[in-house]
Amino acid sequence: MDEDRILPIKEIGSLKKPDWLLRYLRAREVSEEEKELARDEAALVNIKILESIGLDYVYDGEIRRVEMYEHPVKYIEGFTFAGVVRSFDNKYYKKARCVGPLRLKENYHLDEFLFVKEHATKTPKIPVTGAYTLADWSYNEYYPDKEDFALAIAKEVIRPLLKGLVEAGAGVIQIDEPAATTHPDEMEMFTRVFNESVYGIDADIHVHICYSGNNYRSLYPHVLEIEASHYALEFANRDSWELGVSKDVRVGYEFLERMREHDDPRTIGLGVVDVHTDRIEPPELIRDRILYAVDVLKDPSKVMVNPDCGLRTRRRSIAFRKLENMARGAELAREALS
Amino acid sequence: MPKSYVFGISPRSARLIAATRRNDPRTPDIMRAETRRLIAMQVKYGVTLVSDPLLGWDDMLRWYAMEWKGIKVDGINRFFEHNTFYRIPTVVSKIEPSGDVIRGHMDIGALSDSGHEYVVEVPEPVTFALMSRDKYYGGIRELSEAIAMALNEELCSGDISPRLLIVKAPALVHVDGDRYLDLVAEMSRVLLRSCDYEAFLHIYFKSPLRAFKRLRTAGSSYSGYGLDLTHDDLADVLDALKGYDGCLTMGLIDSHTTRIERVRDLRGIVDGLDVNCLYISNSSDLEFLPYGFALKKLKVLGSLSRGS
Repeated sequence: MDEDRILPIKEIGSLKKPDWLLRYLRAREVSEEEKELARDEAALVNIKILESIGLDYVYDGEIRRVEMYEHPVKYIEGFTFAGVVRSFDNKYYKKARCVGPLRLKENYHLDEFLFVKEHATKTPKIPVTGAYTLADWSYNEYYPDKEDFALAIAKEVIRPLLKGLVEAGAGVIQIDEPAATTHPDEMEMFTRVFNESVYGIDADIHVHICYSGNNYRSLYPHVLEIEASHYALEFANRDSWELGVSKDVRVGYEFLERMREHDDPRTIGLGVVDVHTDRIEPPELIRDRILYAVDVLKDPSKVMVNPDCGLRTRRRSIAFRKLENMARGAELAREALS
Repeated sequence: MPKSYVFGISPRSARLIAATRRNDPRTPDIMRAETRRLIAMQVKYGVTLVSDPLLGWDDMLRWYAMEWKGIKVDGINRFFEHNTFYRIPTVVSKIEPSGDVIRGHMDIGALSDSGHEYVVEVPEPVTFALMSRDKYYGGIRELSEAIAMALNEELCSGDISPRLLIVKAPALVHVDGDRYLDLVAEMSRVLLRSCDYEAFLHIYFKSPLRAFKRLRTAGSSYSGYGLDLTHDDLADVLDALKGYDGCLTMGLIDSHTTRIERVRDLRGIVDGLDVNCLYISNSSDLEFLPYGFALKKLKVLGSLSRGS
C-alpha cells in the first residue's frame, strides 16, 4: 500500500460467489480440475475488482470457502459434524462436535493465500476464523472445559496454520472472532486464547469482531492485553444515516472513546458500510463517519476504513457499489483533513 | 420416580427444514404430523407430561409479536449468549392480545389426544419486556404489566387445561435481569389472576441459584421452579434448596452438549435430593442440538422418569 496515504481502505473478507461459479461447481459433468480453474478465475476477478476500486488491502472474497466455520472444521482432525442447528428463522448452520484430540490436517488457507500473493498488486490480508469462535460454535465432548478446548484449537490448529502462512510470505493476518463478545464473562478467556493463537507469529495481526450484543462494552479493559495491532469493528450497523460529524447524529461510537481513554495504541478499522441492507451509503455519509472517528481519536493515523463485516450477504453489484462509495468517502475525508 | 416433561422449542427434522426453506404448501401438514410424532415419542420414551414441541415457533416470542396488536416484529438480535438470533418485538401502541396464540400455535388437540396430562408454556412477562423494544409504555413495569395481562387473557379465558403451566424466564440470569426479581414476583400475580393452573417458573441458560434464592421468598404465585442444573455443583444446589418446600423441576438434560447423559449418573443426583414434589426436564430448549441428538436426550429423560 501507499505508505504515505492516511485512512487506508480494506474489505473484511467474504463476497457473494458469482452465480456462474455456483452453477459450475454444482455441475456433475464438470471435473474437479475444471472446478479448481473456475475458482482461480473467480478469485482473480475478485482481486482485480477490489484493486480497481482502490482498496489498499485485498483478498479473494473467500471464494474457495463454504463459510467461515464449516470450511476450517473440515480440515481439523478431532471434529465431526453433528448436524444442523438453527441460527434464526429458517437459517441453519452445520455444527461440529469435538470428539478427540485436535490436530490440523492441512493448512486450509495456504493455497488460496499463495494464489492471492501471486496475483495481487496490493497488500494481501488473510481472514482466518479464530480459535475462540471455533470453540464457541462447536460442541466439546473431549476436553475438560471450554478454555482447554479453545486453547487446544489455538495451539494445535490456528498457530501452526498462521505459522505456515507467514512462512509463505503472509504479512497481514486478520483473525475473525465474531463470538468474542457473546459471553461478557469470558473476556479473559478470549484474551488468553487469542494470544496463544498468535504466540510467536511474526505478522501484523488484526482482529475482527462484529455484532456485539453489548456495543463492545465488554472488550475493555481485557482487549488491551491482546497481541494485535488493529481492531476491525462494525459501527455502520448502529449509526444513523444523517450527515454530520456531531455526537447527536453519529450513534454507537463509544468504543472509540474507550480507546482514547485507555490510550490504546492500536488502530481501528472503522465499519462504515452496513452489510445487512441494500441501501447504498453515500460517500458524504462515509466521509462524516470517518471524520467523526478521527475527531474522537484525535489522530487520523489511527483510522482505517472498512465495511462492518464480509459483504457475502449482498448481491455482488450492491457490494461493489458500497465499496466504491467507501473509497470515495475515504477520499473526501482525506481532502477534508488535508 | 420423578415426573418428567420437556419444554421449549425442539429442533425440526431434515424433512421439515427442507419444507420451510422451499415454502412448500404442505408445510403446515408436515408440521402437524411431526408434532404428533414427537408427542408420541415422548409417550413412548416414558416422559410423564407431554408437551408441544413448538416446531412452528421461530423464537419464543414470535407468534405473540406477530399476532398481538400493538407489537411489530423488528430486526434480529442475539438470543442471550448464543450463536442464535430472535426478532425483536417492537411495542408501538397499546398491546391487545388476539387470544389465539396458544390455541392457534400449540397443538392442544394433539396433546389431549395423547391421553396424557400435558404442559403449556408461555414467556415470563418481565423476560418478554426485557427482550422487546418499547416505544409506547415508557417503562419496564408498565410494559411487563401489559404483557402479563395479555398473556393472562391468552391463558385463562378458554378451554385449555394443562397439568402444569411452564413460565420461561431466561432473562433473569443475564446482565441486569436480577434487578427485576421483585417485579417478576409481582407480575406472576397478574399473569395467573383468576387462573387455577399450577405454574412453574423456569430459570435457565446460566446458574439459576441466585435468582431462585431471591424469588422463593418474594411472594410470587409460582408453586414451583424449574432450574437449569447444568451450571452448578450439587452441593451449591443442595444449599440453595435448604428449607424450600415447594415443587422443583431439575433441568438435568443438558441442551447445550451432544454428550449423552447416563441415566445412572442422573439418578444419583435425583436420589440425592430431599424434595417432596419433584420433576425432571431438559435444561433449556432442545433446539440448540441437532435433531438426532435431541431425540437421544428425550429418551434419557424418559428412561430416568420411568426408572428403567
